[in-house]
Amino acid sequence: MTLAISISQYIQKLRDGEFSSEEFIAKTLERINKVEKNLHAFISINENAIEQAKQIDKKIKAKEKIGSCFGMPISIKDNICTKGMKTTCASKMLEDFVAPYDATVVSKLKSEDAIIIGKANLDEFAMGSTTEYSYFGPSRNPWNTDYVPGGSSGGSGVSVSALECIASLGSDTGGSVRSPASFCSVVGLKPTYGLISRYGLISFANSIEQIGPLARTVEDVAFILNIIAGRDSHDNTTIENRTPDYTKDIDIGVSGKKIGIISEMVGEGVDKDVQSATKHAISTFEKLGAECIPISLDSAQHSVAAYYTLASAEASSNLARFDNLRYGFDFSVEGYEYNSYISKVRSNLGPEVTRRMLLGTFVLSAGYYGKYYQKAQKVRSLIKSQLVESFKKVDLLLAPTMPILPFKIGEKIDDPLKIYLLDINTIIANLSGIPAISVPFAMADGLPIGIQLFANSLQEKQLLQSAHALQKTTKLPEVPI
Amino acid sequence: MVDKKEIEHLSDLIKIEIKDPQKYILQVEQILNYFERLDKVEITTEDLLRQELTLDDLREDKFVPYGENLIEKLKNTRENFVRAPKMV
Amino acid sequence: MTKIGLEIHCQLTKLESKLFCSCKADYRSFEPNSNICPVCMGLPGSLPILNKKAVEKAAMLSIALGCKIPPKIGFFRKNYFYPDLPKNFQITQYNAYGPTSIGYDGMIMIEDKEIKIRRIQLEEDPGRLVYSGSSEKTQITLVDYNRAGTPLVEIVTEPDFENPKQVRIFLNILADLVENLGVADPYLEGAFRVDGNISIEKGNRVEIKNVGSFRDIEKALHFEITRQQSLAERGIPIPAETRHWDEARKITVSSRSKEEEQDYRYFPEEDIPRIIIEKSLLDNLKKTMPESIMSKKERYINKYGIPTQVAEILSSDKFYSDLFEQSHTEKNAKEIANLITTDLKGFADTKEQREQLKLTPKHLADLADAVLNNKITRASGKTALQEILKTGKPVSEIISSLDLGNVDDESSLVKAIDEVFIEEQKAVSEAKQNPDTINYLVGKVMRKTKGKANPSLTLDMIRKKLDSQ
Repeated sequence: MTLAISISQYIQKLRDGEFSSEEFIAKTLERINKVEKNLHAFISINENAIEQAKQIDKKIKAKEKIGSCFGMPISIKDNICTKGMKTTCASKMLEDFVAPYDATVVSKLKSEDAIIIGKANLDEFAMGSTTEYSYFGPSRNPWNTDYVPGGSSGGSGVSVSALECIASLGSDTGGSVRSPASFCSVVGLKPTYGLISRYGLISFANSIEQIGPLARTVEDVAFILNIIAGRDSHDNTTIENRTPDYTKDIDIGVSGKKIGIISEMVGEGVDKDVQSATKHAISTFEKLGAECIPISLDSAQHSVAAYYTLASAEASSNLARFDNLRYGFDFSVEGYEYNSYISKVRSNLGPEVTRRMLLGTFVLSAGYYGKYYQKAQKVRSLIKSQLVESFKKVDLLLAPTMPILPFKIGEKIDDPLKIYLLDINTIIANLSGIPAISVPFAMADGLPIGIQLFANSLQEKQLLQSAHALQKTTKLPEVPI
Repeated sequence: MVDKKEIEHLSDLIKIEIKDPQKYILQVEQILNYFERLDKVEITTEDLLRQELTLDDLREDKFVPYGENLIEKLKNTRENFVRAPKMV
Repeated sequence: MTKIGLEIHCQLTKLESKLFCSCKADYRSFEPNSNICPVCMGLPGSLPILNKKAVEKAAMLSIALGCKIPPKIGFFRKNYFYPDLPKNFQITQYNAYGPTSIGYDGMIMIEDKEIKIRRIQLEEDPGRLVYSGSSEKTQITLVDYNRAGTPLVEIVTEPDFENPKQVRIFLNILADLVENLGVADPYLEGAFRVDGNISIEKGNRVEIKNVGSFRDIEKALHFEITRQQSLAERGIPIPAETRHWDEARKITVSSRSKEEEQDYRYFPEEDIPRIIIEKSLLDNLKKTMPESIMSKKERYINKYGIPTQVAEILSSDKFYSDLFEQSHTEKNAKEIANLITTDLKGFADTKEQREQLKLTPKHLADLADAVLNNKITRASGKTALQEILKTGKPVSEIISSLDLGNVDDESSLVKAIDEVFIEEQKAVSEAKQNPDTINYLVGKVMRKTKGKANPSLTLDMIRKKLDSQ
């Protein structure tokens, strides 16, 4: 039995009796046991996974109604709440936190008989682009364990890439699904803002972030999106999902499509190998019948500044609730005065989170709001309007997901601004709310390169069709671990 | 622009004890300097991002008890109260 | 000139659920921390889900206070740390970047004085701190979050009041208004809370907080004026500060907290999209919302000829006007208004009294009709009403069991009149000279019959007897 299969293969083989859910889960756990010490994709593993698989097998045998996931193992980023399992956000502040409820996406997956195999590692509170800022230690890139897997959904990217699950849910605030997808050679989707409920996603930058699926194929991503998309009465920002089946007609191709190549994201500052991979992707699309034209998006040069201003501002408020009074780690209030207690417990937030708390507080504080926060909102509007204009001319936009190849763990950790600038190609989707996907496309020096496509709001179907067309042309090596 | 006093003021507002403010001064200043570019952008575009709802999209006013005794799952010291540090 | 402004926090006590979750809005009867859920406890991953009716009620209040209502409303976060605040920010509304609160620029008149309403904002109440332990040293802080998320409106006035008396009148009108509108019961403990700010001529603005009951605000303001004036007389500058009302000592005390330096870092609450307030909604609210006190008063005066003073009492008290509305006909309206404002008053002043009353609108209608049809006298009407309040028995039963029916039978009246003519010979001869004094004799007969004599019949008979002598 191989774990390197797609969702549709999994379902087919399970139905054909080639293996049971229990067998597949057992094999997955075996794999996790073997590779985890090198990869550290998970913060916790579901101890009841085998038991849950047995229940699903029983249902299958009894010909009872069975959910569309048939007991397949899915990992969940550890900032998405799972009832009865810890949800830590990779932070000391929540190291013992067990949410009393499932996030909407988790209950949707469970009701389709998916098995939550474990909680995936991340940068503390999803703040970071490398997964080095996890309180529990970094995750490692399965293609070369000296290298970062991207982030902040690093554990999700690693677990999918290293066959520790079939698919994963991450969250994408500034590229946090697409960055690990690119660095780990898997597919990662950041959906339209509001398409997926954020209920149960522990907020970092609530006006910007979305939960998104990672899987090994575009088709698998479409399959998961079918399950998790839709309006939710627990989230006032969700919108109606008017495209019910994302997997249908995924094979339709890109013939006649117009694809805009974002000029600002393919030139200066982009690694040579990434540049040539991008050129190759463009010519591939042309061969498939699409027309590619350059598109300028000059507002993108301000996107990093606008994003880090807004995201830090929102984060400074969202993370204020972690005062250790109602939940949190064991630390008695005895003998402390209120302010000193709160400041003391919150000094357990890691350095990157602390930095963003300081920045976010600064940009919102009296006298600076207009100069930073309001200006950043305006830049955000400008980016959105330029994108709206672009989508009048083209169906999709294209750029490399990451401007550089994966780098070594520790290499950039002392230069936060340099790490922020890695998000330059991904952030526009978050600031504007449009969907974007990263597709594994090439390798250089044994390290993966992902190509990113953007579509207009709620055009996920078209986005997935084009990404699928691109992925079908690739022949990439098997993960070396 | 950013000095020790500023870091201390911010850490007081956000309630994070910072043992080594020095460590943050340069980084925060460097990032804020980078943010300065925002101030120079000329923008006249309308606000396009705001999501909007009508009243009909909102929750009906109905009392639905949570159903579980939530406080038992949280920190509580006596008679189901949450204990806070001394207020001065 | 003294300038006083007010900030009134009024819970929307007529709502079923909290502002952002489905827990109960009326937290008062719950055991500690048993009216909570992940949303009002601000648990990680929870999101606020706005209560539709809260927006409607707040819009109604805004209309009633003459406010403008923006085409879209929005919410903001007010960031500060406090143990009663589960998220360590409060979701509220804020107009510094353009009007997005439910109401702004309103006005109400009190005694020919305009009081401008700066804004009305919808926001969540925090939880409550409870202190346990006797001495300062052993005292511990406990938190009950049952109240957290209770919907309230904050009403902010311009500093248009010149004296504490105007404040009292305004608050009485406002309390009557919110009750009449059905948005709140201002007399519920903690439902109606008032903070004030006050400056005297050339002095700085002083905020007064923590005034427990809205009756105390008048006292607190009086105290402040005296305190500030005495400082000014001695040439001591009045510092801008926040002072707390010490209820036990009836004085204001400077708060040493750093409240003045607070930087709340307001910014938009993006978990709640902007809410479009359509004109059709406002038109509909205006049509369906309860009649205003002013309009009721005018209707009572113009339609039924009820005296102004009676109409005022009747219209400003929702309990009274509801009783009136449910009982009156065009014919008996005036009589019912009288019964309520003279006879019922005194027996139905407090909430407890009102809850125990056995009086129904039908009682009032029957009673008024009995008086109008001369079945009983007004005086007997009062006796009957008191019996109704106690027993709740039907009017007819009470009239017969207490023998309150009018003495219409001439023979028994003849006997009483004869006796009075013997006892009051001086008055009789006076009445012959001056018919105006005849009422004295009528009164005597009434007394003899314990108020049951039919007054008009008695008058006729006395006149006849005087003429015949």
